[in-house]
Amino acid sequence: MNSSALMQRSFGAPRLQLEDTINADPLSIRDATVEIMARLTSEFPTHSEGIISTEIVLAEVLNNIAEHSYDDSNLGDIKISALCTDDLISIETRDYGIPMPGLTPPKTELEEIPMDIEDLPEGGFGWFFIRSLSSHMEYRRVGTQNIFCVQIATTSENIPDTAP
Amino acid sequence: MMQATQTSNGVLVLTLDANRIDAACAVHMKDEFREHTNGHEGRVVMDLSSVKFMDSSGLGAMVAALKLLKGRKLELCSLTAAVDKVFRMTRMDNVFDIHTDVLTALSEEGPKGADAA
Repeated sequence: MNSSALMQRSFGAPRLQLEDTINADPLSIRDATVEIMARLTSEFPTHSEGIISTEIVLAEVLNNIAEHSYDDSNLGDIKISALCTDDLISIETRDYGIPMPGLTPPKTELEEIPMDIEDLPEGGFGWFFIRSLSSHMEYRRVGTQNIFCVQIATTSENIPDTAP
Repeated sequence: MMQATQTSNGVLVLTLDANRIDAACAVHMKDEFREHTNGHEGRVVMDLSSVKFMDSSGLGAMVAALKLLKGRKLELCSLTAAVDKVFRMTRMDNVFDIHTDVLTALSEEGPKGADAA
């Protein structure tokens, strides 16, 4: 703690470090997201675009763990760490559920909007949001742990081209 | 999680009073929407001004709500920055009718771009 307090605020120096362990259920995920975002918002009051991106990415990463890694059982720990520098928010999650299929995050592309409203997807945008809004992501399986790291630029404006 | 009011010319206005539509409440949102819109034939306008965050599940619930209208438009008003972002990123802003606010929506005759059919 002393050493970081003495550290000059320079490029890449950590500004904020957070750790939390939560249960993998939707309400705990919501509470943790709200709490972490409150801390980040007070640390980066002027970076609203990066903050919005971070909230979407964080929520989707945690939802994925609850839904897939723990198979919607609402049981299991998620350890969340966040580390922020002036220009980057890094989030790492660890869980003890099942590995990602193929040991790799799914590649999800945004599909064309179907002509028939009945054919519209009712979800499944999670990985698209994570991939689109992050500058880097990485998944590892170590022993019985899933470790997922994702980074979001605090000044990100990574909105894909939505021109028709 | 929403208040329903009907205007004198038969527009159903659903005002969300939740500040998040996420995985914890998406199913509940869809169920309430179904209850309020059941038997209503006119326009349906949703005021999302209180909603500060929406995730993939929340967006999915909005699509499910749209499907419950069986081909009629679902009009959305007052999207906050985070909600606007998820709609634009997924191009769902082309699927729903989006108005600046409820007053603007109600000042129009019907959904934007509605066919004369």
